[in-house]
Amino acid sequence: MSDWLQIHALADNQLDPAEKAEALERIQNCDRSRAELEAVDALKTTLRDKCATITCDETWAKCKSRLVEIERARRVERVVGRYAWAMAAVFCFAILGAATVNRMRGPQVGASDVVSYSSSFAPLGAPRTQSVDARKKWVEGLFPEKAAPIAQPTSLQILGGGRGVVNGVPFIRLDLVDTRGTVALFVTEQASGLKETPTDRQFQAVTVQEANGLTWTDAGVSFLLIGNRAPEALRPIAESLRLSR
Amino acid sequence: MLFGKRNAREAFEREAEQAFPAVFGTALRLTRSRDEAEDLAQEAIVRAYEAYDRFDGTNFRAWILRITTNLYINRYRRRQRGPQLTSIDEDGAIEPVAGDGDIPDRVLFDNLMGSEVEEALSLIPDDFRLTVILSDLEGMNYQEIADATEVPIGTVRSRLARGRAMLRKLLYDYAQTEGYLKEGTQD
Repeated sequence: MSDWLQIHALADNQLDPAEKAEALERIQNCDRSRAELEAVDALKTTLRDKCATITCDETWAKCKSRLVEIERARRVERVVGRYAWAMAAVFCFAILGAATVNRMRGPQVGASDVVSYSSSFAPLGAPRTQSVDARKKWVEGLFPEKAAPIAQPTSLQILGGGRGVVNGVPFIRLDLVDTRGTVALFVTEQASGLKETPTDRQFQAVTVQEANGLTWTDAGVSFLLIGNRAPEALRPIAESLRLSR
Repeated sequence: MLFGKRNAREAFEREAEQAFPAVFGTALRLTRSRDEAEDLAQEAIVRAYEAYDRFDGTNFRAWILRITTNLYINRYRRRQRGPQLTSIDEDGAIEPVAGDGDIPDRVLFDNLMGSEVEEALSLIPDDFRLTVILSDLEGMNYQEIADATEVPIGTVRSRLARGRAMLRKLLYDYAQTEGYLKEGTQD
């Protein structure tokens, strides 16, 4: 058995010099061994000559594109790996910064939320009379620490109001009426309590539940005036509201 | 650093492109399916690329064929269905390749078509076919084949001898069937 293997190894050039010499000597003296070597050689030649190289350009192109993808992914991993601490620090600072800004600014709510939640506000009743002094006193009583909005001219009457908290922001609602109908004034003592509020007593028109409204701030107080009339018609009312003190 | 990595990829691509026909050819002859061969060859290239920094720089072709062979053994052959032809006793007696005919094999096989040789090769049981492919088509030495197939050199030698004997018999049958060999000349 090992003799045949030796002839294969000879054909494959896998023998060391001593083994090769021994095998060659054996072949010279043995017809069957010589025939075996020739047969193995013939088979090797047949395989080499008849088995054509297979075309695979398309598959190689696919491999190349996969290598490019791998390299791209590696590059990203390298950058992320190298700067992971820096990126984590940046994210931490961003989160801390945003949290600080939020804390400084306080909570904010949208005008539509305020109007929606106002129906659940605790009622405040109404001034005993609609005299200017009675209304002023009643309104000032609602804002013991800050300036209260006092309506000028006196044609705007107070029907009542409510008090409540919307998403952490305290609001007071005043139900007002003039010759054209009722309007609702929402007041919060947080300057940035309303998302839509512009600064420095500029008016911004908003639409809430198909009603028009105006928002503004004055001396750190945010206002939202809602009524079933055009914003232009709401504006004289908004301008007539003055802060006391 | 980035340039270094890019150069490494380019160097790998250069070597892999040269070796790829051997990789794909071996994959195709092992799996006998173009789709599976594509998967196997691509996977081998990716594996080789990922391990390129561990390549010792001596024989890229043998190294990547070893990866291909290992992948085939570990992945493809496990899920191979149907009757397993590899149960042939590897310790059985080694038969000579040469027949007793008057016509030399070199002349006899010269008339065979490439497709007939490929067909005969595909009929040899897996382990024997793999060894013959790596040795006679890809030119790997016994040690490289032993490393690639993870068997002792002695097993490589016996598989090669038995594989060649089986292949020779199949080719002889082809030659006889196709009329390349006139009836009776072998006897």
